[in-house]
Amino acid sequence: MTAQPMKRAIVESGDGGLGLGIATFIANGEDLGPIIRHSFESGKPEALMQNLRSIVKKKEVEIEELCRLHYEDFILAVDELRGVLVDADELKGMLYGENSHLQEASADQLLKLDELLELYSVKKNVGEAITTLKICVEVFSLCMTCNNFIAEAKFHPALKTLDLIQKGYLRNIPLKLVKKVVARQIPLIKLHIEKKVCSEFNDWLVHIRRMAKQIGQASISQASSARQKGEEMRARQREAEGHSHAGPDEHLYALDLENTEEESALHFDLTPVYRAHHMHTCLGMEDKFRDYYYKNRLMQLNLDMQISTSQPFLESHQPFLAQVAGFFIVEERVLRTADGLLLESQVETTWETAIGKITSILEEQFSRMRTASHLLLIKDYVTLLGAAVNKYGYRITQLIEVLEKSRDKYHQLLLLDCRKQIDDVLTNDSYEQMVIKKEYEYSMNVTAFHLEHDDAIPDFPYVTSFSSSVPDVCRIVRSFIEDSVSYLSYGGLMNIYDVVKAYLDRLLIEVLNDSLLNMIYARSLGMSQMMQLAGNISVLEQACGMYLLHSAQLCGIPKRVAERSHSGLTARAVLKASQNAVYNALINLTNFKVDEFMVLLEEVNWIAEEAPDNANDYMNEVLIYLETLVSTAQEILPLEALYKVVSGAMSHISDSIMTTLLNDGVKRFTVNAVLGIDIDLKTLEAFADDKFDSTGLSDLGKETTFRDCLVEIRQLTNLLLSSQPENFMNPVIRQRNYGSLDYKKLAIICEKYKDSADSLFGSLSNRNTPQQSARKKSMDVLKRRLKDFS
Amino acid sequence: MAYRADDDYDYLFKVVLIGDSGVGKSNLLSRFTRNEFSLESKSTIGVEFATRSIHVDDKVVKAQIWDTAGQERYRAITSAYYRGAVGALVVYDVTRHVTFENVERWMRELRDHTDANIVIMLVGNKADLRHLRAVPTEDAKAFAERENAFFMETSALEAMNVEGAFTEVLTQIYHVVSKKALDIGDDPAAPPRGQTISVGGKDDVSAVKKSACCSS
Repeated sequence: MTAQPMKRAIVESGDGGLGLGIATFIANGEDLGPIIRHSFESGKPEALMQNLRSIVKKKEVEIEELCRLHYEDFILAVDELRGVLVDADELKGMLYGENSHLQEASADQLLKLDELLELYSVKKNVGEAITTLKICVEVFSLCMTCNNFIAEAKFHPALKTLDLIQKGYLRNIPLKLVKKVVARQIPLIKLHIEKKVCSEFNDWLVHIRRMAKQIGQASISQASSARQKGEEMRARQREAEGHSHAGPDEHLYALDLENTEEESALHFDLTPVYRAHHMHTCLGMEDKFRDYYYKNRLMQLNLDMQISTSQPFLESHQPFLAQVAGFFIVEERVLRTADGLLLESQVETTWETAIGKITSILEEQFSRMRTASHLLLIKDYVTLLGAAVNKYGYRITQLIEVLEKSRDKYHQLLLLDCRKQIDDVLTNDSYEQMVIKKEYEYSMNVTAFHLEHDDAIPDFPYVTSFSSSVPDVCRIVRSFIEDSVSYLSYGGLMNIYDVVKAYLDRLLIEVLNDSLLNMIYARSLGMSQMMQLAGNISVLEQACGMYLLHSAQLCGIPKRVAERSHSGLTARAVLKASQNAVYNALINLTNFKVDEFMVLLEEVNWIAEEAPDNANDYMNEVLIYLETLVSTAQEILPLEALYKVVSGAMSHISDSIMTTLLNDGVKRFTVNAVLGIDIDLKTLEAFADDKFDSTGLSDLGKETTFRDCLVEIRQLTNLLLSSQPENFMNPVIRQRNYGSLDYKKLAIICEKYKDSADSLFGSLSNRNTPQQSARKKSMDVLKRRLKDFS
Repeated sequence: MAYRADDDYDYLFKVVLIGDSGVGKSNLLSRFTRNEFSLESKSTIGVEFATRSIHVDDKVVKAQIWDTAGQERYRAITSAYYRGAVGALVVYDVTRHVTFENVERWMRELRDHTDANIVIMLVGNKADLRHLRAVPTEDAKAFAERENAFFMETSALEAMNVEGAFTEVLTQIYHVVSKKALDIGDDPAAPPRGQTISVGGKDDVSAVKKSACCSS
C-alpha cells in the first residue's frame, strides 16, 4: 500500500524528457558516467545539476512521507517486542526453575554418567596400550628368539627371524624409541652374523687345508690299491696261461674278487661351506661370498703349490702332490654340491693353472735328477695322482705329456746305470765255467733265465756252458725290462710293448754289446777266457728270446701272441755280429800264440847233412798247444766257431812256414831240410784229420777240412821232393798238383834250394846217386823257366 | 737437559720397523700410534715415523717409531735410518714364506748398523689369515730363539698383539737402559730423571721430517 503511492508520485511529477531519462537510469541502477561526461563536455552542466537536485528533493519528500506513514507501525512493533521480551523473561525463569529441579533430581545420575565416560576413555587408552604392547611383545619375543638363535649359533633361523621383524613388524612398531633401536640393531646383527659365519668359514678353510693332504693321500691310496688289484689279476692270468688247464673259472673268480672290492669313500665335511654360502645368500651377499671363496681358495692353492726348498723334491713331492690332489677333490665336491658357489669354468681354469705349474716343477726336477729310481718313484706317484684326480673329472693330459718327455731321460739314466753294472760284471768275471752245486743255485742262475733248453734239474755238481757274468747280465737286463715297464705303465701309452722293445734293443746294443766289444778288444783276456767270452755271447744272443717273452709278459701280451710275433730284437743280429768279432779275436789270439811257437822255426837246420828222424821242435810245441785249444774249445764253443778257430790256426801255420822260407832269415836250404818239413806236415795233417773227425765237424759236411788248410805248404813240399819238379810248368800237372802255389813265391824259394853237391865240400862227396842227379837237372830247368817268367 | 714443556716424557726411544715390502709394517705403525688400519696396500715412500707415549714402571716412555719401505730402492737411507735405534721390530708375513726367509738378511743388516744391546722382536704379521698360513709358528719361534730375539705373531687388521709387541719392546728397552743407569751408581754427573736417547743432531730430525708423510 505504501509502495504504490510512491510510484504514482514519480509519474505525476514529469519534468521533461531529460529528467525522466535520468530517473529511469537511476531506477535501473545504470551507470550515469557517460551522461555526466557528456553534459560537462557540452558546456551545459547547470541543467543536469538542477535535474539532479530536483530528483534529490523528490526523494527526500518521499522518504519523509514514508517515515511518517510507518511511525505508528514502528511504535507498535516496539511495544510488541517489549511484550515478547517480558514473555521471554518469564519463560527463562520457568526454564531456570525446571533446570534446577532437573539438576536436583538427576545430580546422582550425572555423576554416574561422568564416571561412565571416564571409564570408556580409560578403556580406549588401555585398549590402545594393550595393542601397542602386544606388538612390542611380539617384537621383543622375536628379538629374544633371534638372540637365542644367535647364542646357539643357529644363524639361519636367526636371519629368518630378523627378516620377519624387519618386514612384518618394523613399520608397525608404535613406540618410536623402540622402533629406532630395533632398526639400528638389525644391520648390526646381520653384520655380526656375517662375521660369525665368515669366522666359521675361515676355520673351515684352515681345517680343509690341513685335511687336503690326507684327502689327497687317501684318494691316491685308493688309486694305488686299484692298481695293485689290477696287477694281481694280471699276474694270475699270466700264471693261468702258463698252465694248459686255463679255463673260464679263473676269470669268474677274478670277476668275483673285483665285485667284492670296497670303495672306501673319502669323508670330509663341507657343512660350514654350505652354511656360509646359504647365509650369505640370505643376507643378499651371495656374489661377495662366492668371490671370497674363490679368491681365498686360490690363495691357499698358491701357497700349497710352493714346494719346499729346504727339503729334497724326492722327499717333498708326495706331500706336495697329495696336497694339490686333496685341494681339487674338495673343489670338485664343492662344485657338485654347493649349488652355484663355484663355476665349472673356475675349477677348470684353476686346474689348468695348477697342472701347468706342476708340470713345470716336474720338468725342472726331472732335468736335475741323476738317479733313475728317483725318477721312477716320482713318476709312479704322479701317475697315481693322475688316476686319483681323473676319477673326479680332471684332465691329466699335461701330466702324461711331461712323463712322456721325461721318458728318454729316465731310460738314459737306466742305461747309464746298467752300463756301469754290466761293465763291473764283465770286468770282474773270471771267465770260467760255473760249477753249480745246489739246486737253488741252478734255479737262480739257469732256470730263471731259461739258459738251458732242458727244464729238467740235472745232477750236481753241474758245469754250465757259460760263466757267472751271463746270469748276472741276464739279471741286469731283466731289471731293466721291469724298470722300463714300470715307468711306461699307467702312462698315456696304450701299447707299451713296442716302446719297451725299442729301449731293450738300446740296452743290448749300446750297453751290453759295447761292453762285450770292449772286453774283446781290450787285450786283457787270455785264450781260454776269450773262448768263454765267445761262449757267453752265444748264450746271451739266445737269451734275447727270453727277454722278449719277459717283456711281452710284463706288458700284458699273452705268451702265444708274443711267440708268434716275427719281429724280434735288432740286438740279436748285433750280438751275432759280436760273436763273429769274438771269433775273429779268438783266431787272432790263437795265431798270436802259434807265432810264439813258430819262432822256433829259426832254429831249424836248413842245411842239414842228413834227414831228421822226428818232427822239428816248433811243431811239437804247436801240436801241444793245438791239442789244448781244441779240447777246451770243444767244450765251450759251438762247432761252427770251433771250426773257424782251428781252420784259422791251420792256415796260419801254413802261412808261417811259407813266410819263413821266403824271408831273408833263410839263405839256403837242402833237401834234408825239406824232408824235415815233410815230417812236420805229416804229423800236423794226422792231427788235423783226427780232430776233424773226433769233434764231429766231419758230420757238418764241410767241404774244406783242416788238412785242406795246409794245402799250400803241402804242395810246396811235394814239389821240392818231387823227382821231376819241372812238371810245375806243365799246366795240367800244375793245376792238379800245385794249384795253390804262386809263381813269384816259388821262384824265390827255388833259388834258395841247393843240392848237397853245391856245398863247399860237395865235390868230395861220394854219395851222389843217379836219382839225385836227375832231380837236380830237373830243378835247374824249373829254376831257369821260373826266372824267364819273372 | 731441557725438556719440552708441551710433551713431557722421561725416555725417548727410537724403534725401527724393518722387513720385506708388503708385510704390513705401516699398518702395524698406524695401529699402534693412531689405532688405524688401512686396507689399501699403498707402499711406503722413503721413511715415515710416528710417536706414542706409554707408561712403564711409572715412567713416561715416548716411542719414536720409524717405518721404511722395505724395498731396495730406498736402501740409500739405511745408515741414517738405523742410527740411534735402541729397538727393532723385524716383520714378516705369515702367509708368505719368502718374507720369513728374508728375515735372516734383515737381521744381519740390523746387527751391522746398530748397537749390540738393541732389543729385537721378530713379528709375524697377518696372523688372522689362518687359512693361508705358510710359516709355522714353531719355525719362527725356533728362529727367534737362535737369534736371541723376542717373538710375537700379530694382526694389524684385528689389532691382535700389536699393542703387546710394541709395549714388550719398549719395556725391554727400558729395562736395558735402567740397568745401564744403575751401573752408573753414585756418579754426580748422572741426571736425576732418566735420560734422553739422542737421535743425532737436531738437523737430522728436521731433514727426516721433511721427507716424511705424517698425514698418512
